Amino acid sequence: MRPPLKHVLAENLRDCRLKAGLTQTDLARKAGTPQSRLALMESKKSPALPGLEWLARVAQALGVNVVDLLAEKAAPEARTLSSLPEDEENLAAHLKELGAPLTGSAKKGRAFSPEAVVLGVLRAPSARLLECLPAVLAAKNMDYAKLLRLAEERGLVNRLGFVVDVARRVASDDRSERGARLERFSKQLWLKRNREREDFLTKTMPDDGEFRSWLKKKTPAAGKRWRVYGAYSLERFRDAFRAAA
Amino acid sequence: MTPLEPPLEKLRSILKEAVARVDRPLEIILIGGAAVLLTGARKRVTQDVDILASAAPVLRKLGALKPPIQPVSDSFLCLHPDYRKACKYIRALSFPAKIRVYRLSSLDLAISKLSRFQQVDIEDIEAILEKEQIQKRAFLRRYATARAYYTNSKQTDFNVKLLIRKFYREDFDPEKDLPRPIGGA
Repeated sequence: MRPPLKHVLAENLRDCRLKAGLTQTDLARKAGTPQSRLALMESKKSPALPGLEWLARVAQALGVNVVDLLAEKAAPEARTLSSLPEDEENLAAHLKELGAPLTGSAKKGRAFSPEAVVLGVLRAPSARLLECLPAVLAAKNMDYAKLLRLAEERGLVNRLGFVVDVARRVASDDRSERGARLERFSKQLWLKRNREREDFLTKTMPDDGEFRSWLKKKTPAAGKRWRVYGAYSLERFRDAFRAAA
Repeated sequence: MTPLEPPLEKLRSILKEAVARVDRPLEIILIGGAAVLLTGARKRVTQDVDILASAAPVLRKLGALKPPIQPVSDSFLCLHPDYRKACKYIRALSFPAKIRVYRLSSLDLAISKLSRFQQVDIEDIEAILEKEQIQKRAFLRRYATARAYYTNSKQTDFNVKLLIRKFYREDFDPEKDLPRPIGGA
């Protein structure tokens, strides 16, 4: 039996959004629609269907065709994606538990593996959370094989590669096994990188050409190498790394 | 007493310890991430509590200039000359009449972050503008005076141009669109 059109649309929308590394809020902003409407369309429980114009705007914001959002074949793929923590506060609570130097009351939802937390931060990057990743990545209990699998699944290999390179750099004083492990992992990631894609490690994808070129100039060398851009400073990464230690 | 975020709680305990040794009124002005946290625009900060360096010599003399307190010179920041008048008093961190703690007003805080303008600053500025519903006109009016007192205004003009386009989705030309500076000495 064919699934109802709303189920297909809801699953495809969510799948495409996650693959694009966007949260509902990001996509809503990009497509110029309220986040609540997007949530409604991603919900299988609500029978509401969108208008064609709305669908076209969302498809454009996702970089896909309207047909992709209505095609049945995309639905089974969505179910294979592992779930990652969402929401900045939830991510911060998880990171804090992993030793990141963040403050605030911990409001955690369900439990997630450290690898899923790293990918969750990379998917919806917030600078203060991202700066804590090198220390988390250098931790002994990090399963790099799992990280690589999750990153490939979500198309986040380049983003992860950038942060691993930064971690390798800030941990360079530490001549223990940590630096060597990160270096091996960075090489593994380099083989799996997406050579074509230019990515911006920002909360919302910049749509202004001048802002994009400025971000590229401000990106540290490790970011340029992975074609992942953002106005980050190694100093801040280093400070967070030391504070976590 | 209302519980504060850990770095601010640490600041309060340092000040509480020092207050007995203070022999003249001391004003501390919070800037940076800690001040953003106090605006309620964003919930989380990293460890440091940045303060304006004017209070640093007295704090050092009192033996209270220790982590997480980090003094920052105001010459590095793009600040309106009347920023002190607009500061918000932080009752939870103050020990009147000896120690009074303030934070920069939300608008001045957003403008102060234009000088460094890293990823974290961009996110903070956007969060403040969104939370306080600051209009482009009000932002530019305050910035126009602040830049007149700042040494690297060419750089901040460019950052403002990017910000206006990103946040307000409008074009901005510092040559034409900046109002005349007002206020100050």
